Amino acid sequence: MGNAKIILTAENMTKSFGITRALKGVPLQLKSGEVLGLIGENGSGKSTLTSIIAGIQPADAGEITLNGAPYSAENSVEAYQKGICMILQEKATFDNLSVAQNIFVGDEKRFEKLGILDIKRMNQEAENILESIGVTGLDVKKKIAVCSFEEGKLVELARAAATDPQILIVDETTTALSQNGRDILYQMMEKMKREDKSIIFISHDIDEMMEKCDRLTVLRDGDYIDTIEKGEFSPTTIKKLMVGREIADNYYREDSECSYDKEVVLKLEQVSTENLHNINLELHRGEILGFSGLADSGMHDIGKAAFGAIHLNGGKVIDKDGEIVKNPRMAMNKKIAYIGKNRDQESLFVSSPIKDNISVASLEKLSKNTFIAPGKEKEFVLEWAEKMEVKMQDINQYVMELSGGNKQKVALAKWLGFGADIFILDCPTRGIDIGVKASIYRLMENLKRQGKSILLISEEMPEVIGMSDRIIVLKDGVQSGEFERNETLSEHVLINCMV
Amino acid sequence: MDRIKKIDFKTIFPFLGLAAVIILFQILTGGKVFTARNLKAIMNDSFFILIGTVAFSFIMAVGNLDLSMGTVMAVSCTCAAFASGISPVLAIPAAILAGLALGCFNGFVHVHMGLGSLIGTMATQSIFQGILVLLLNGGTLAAPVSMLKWGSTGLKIAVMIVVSLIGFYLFNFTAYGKQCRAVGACSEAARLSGVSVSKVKYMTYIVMGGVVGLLGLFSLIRTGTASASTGSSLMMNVWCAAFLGGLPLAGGSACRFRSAIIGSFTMAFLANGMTLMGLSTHDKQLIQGIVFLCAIAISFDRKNLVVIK
Repeated sequence: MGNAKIILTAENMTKSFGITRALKGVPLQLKSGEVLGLIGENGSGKSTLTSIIAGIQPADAGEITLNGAPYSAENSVEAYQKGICMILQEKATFDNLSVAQNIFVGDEKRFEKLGILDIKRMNQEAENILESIGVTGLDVKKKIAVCSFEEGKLVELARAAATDPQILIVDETTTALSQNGRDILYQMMEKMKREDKSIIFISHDIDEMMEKCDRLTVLRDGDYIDTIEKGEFSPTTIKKLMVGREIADNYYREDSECSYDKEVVLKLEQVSTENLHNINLELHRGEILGFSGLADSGMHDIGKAAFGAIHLNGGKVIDKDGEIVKNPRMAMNKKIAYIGKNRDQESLFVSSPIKDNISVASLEKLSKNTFIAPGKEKEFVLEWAEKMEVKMQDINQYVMELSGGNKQKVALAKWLGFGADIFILDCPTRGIDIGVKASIYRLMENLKRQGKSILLISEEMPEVIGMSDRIIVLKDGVQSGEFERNETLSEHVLINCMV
Repeated sequence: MDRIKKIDFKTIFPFLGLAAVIILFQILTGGKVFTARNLKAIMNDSFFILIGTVAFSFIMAVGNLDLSMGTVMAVSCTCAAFASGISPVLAIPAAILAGLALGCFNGFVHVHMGLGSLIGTMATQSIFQGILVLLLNGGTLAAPVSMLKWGSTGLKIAVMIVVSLIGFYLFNFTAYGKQCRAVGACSEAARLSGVSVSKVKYMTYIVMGGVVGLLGLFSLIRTGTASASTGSSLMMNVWCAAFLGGLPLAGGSACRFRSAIIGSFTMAFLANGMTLMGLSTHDKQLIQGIVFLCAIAISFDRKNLVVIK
């Protein structure tokens, strides 16, 4: 690896958004046949840097050299023609096109015969590509609109494979993938490496980064910090470089006992939804009940069902007084709070000020004879924003200007201010940097200590194992395993139940 | 920095618009704008626009629109005229109840039938127009002459102030007003924060109906008749006022109550100024259309383009 050719160099990359300086003169070197990890907290500039390389947005200043020649790309099409392809965090497929059409979008010409598209051949080719990267059982004629988010991501992988890029950029894609999807991505990366091509890999999962990357470049607040070789990898070093100070290695719960009150605070009886079949469960006072499963296991429906937010095909959700929870308002009357997996669409009003986001659940509490005193509302919002240590200019700042971690803090502040007793948290640390992650775990422990209950639904197994008193594993909409907290519980045991 | 400047411009644009209209016509008419008689005329002009826009601002906060307000006003006016035939006092509840009922129907179409507000109220607009023609049987309906005496400027000003104050209070200081904006900002997040989205949407249309019903009553008092053309200028005036005031199409937290007030006065001064200039109805319509286009071109948020529900 040491004497591998350098294929891409970026120097002095600079980019500002308004007053925010996202990149402050960052350099980058990519060698052939390597996986270069780009790591840093939210807002450190990883996505900005890579999206400039992939032609998605222009830099304010800086020079990029590709294969020894000056490189620039006006847009992502130009970038991929020059051999650079990027897979984004967000969905980048077209809903109304089929899987095959999505794979060859922009490249339809090669299937043209006398001006007519040879769809049969296109579908065949799409199947070949999907097979070559290891995706099976995905109908290429299916519209993306009816595919799951994960299937969409796999289609994007296939699209990247079809263009056969010299450099592949993978931005925070693995959080949206199940184990199977991840394996497909990893295999694709391995194959590219063998062909002496290069990958820039971005993920918040430090273990994953350590395992998959050959070198790691660390960014912090738009500054280049350091690049370390595989031999120097250790969680402590990496975290220290990322945060700029020492971080305790283990930020999950310290205790290894399963502990909770006998009192049942929420019960699901024979609950069925589109993705769930006859689920029974009991949540106890002071318990953190974890859910684990593959992306399509139906576990995200559990949270929604418990909050009364989706239609039940059968069964019921019962609170501690024996009353049935039918809709979010009733759930809130029972002091239940819900934080969805899709933070920006379900938990927050991103184009509104922090103030409106925190007070919205507590408007009735704040009003006296219909009157909401502005001073009282402001005081309330400030109190909870400060308790959650939201990093903000003031409470009138727009939520869309905040980093992912701070956004989640705003969502949590809303429910803490509301005074919930039961917290349903669906992927509460998704795409959040470790600093905020740790503080969310501490908060969960505190809530547990106060006798509050938490339903934790997560795609990150270490998190579920690290935080839960009990873990329920779901597979294809039914419960496939239940585990109590203990020291020996490992990811392997859970995975065996999932697949 | 760019963003901050732009927000500032959008904030001051409605004030600039109002000032520009006043100054322009003050110069063009040689100072006829600020005479006692003309100010009274402006009050009369702004009455319908202001009250309509105050109610409409809640619908806009939710991120919805209403195309049917003109016909709701006409049907209410006709119901009031019928009721006044029995006893003039009955005209008051008749107008308001008719408005409430039609507003309720708008809410039903949008919430329960699940139609987008634009297409839904376009349909109801046509239905209400049909009802109107049936009720009027192709003619007009006159109110007792005694009712015309109710329409003092004092009463109108009082009603304007009361409606504005109630609107201001509801919009800024109650859960309802804040929930309207929450639904406009993101209805799914609002639902998952305990806002009854359907109820809020319903309420905005019912209130709109009731308020426009009240306007139907005043229209009867002002003109003495209910006809097929009653309320025909209301929608354009109210929409224009809303956009001139800076209410965003997408709704949400960027909606300010002051927009309704400022926009209404801008619109009233504009209409009045054109009358003072002696412009014909056609010229007025042309100019109003251009102003509408300019207002929306300036206030339209092309970056956060949304489909109007």
